[in-house]
Amino acid sequence: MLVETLFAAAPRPGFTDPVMQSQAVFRAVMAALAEPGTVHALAEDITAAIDAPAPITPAAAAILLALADYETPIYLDEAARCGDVAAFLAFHCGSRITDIAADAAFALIADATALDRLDLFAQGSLEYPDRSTTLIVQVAELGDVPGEGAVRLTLAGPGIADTARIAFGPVHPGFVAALTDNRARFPQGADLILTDGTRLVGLPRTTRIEEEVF
Amino acid sequence: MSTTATATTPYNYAYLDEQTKRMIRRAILKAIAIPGYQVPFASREMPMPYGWGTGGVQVTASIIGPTDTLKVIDQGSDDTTNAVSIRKFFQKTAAVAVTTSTSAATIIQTRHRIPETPLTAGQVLVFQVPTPEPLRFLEPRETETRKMHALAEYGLMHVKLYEDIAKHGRIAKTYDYPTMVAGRYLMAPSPTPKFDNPKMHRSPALQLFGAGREKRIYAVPPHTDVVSLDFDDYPFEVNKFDRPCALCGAENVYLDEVILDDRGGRMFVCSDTDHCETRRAEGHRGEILGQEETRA
Repeated sequence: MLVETLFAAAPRPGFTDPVMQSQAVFRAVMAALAEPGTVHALAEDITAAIDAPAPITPAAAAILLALADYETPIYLDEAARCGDVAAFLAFHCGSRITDIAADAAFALIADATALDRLDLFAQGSLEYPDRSTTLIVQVAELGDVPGEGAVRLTLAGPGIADTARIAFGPVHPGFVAALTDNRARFPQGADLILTDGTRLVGLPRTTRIEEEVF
Repeated sequence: MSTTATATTPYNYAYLDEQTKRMIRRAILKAIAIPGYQVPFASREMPMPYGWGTGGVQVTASIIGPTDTLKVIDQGSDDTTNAVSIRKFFQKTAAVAVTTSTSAATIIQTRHRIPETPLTAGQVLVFQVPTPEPLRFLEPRETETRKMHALAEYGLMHVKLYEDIAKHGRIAKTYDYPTMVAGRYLMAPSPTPKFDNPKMHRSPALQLFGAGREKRIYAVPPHTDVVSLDFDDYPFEVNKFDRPCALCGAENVYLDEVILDDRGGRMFVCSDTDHCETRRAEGHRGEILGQEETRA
């Protein structure tokens, strides 16, 4: 076999400096979940270094590279179940890829317009509410003026001084109802990280949401 | 693997290996998402004994980066053995800037106190916790306390506080005073004096708690309700001191008693050394320093 053929089949690059870049990505995720609705940009050298296979965006890939490993099964939505995505994550994270949402520690949602339920993911139990899925939801727009199919939410709850506002999309028409249901299951429930490719916003299960009509 | 590994240490950045950091980071994220709930984690052996802050050190090691500035306090003091050792540990393993100034720090690891200087948004306060379970001394079985948290069944703690009033005429607990976080979970604020409980309430800083021996991590996100338990007719009250700091003259701060001689001589000084030094640098003088040239 030619070396060139081997290179062509090799997984695409992830972090250039795994230790420091993992730490930087984690701090962005921690800040995002600690203060829901605030927008956190990943450093350009991180998003530029990661050459994730489509449809994973650099930020979504960075979150998984920083946090997932052999202990955390990853669920891929239908849009992400293509090409080299599974091989890329298996190589860089060593994670098992699962088709069963309720088994997943992380879920990669490449197409938010197809996400209408959160209760299929691991919810944790009343005794162990921490054993729940963290969803990484890719959206085209985040934090800006809402476009077609987007939603604008007013957020309240832990991490938010008064209220916060965030717009993102496009998402499934049932997405806001799914978020409301998720909050109602507290302390059980899934936690979400929204990302537009380079920036991220946290929506943990504690956040109370209200949809704004525009 | 890391290009930035320091030349001074043969260890990975911040001592812990990357898989351990990921495991702790995941626990921290779930702790933030469920304020006050104790997330179990696979606590590691650290190069210090349990009881010296292994939980706090593991949390700090998992969040710290080269752009952080670290402050470590023990009973409010920057210069006790425990604080100095932990600060040196991270200087050596994480090549991080350190400070004793509360306002200059991005991460403050603490044992027993919350600084007097109000914390600001973006700061992270890491507590070293010996007993994370507030119900443990009332119910020794983990299976039972876990069920109590699952059902938010905290009557036992109210009975304990009531019995205090029946026996002593007041709630006798002065430290590790139980709190409710975001109206859902009963939380031990680690053995901080109850004087500091109000500082946790809606703090703009993120508060993380690590218990190494008990293998639990929990968190209070910024702007989150932390309410000390009490009764309508016996409201929660903080410790009051009948004198100002003998060195800097500060009032409404937490004071330590210092024995001066063997004839009963003593003074009361700020437990927060940074606060006291800052005030003295500003010209404030307490009783023992003669109270000269006091200026605001």
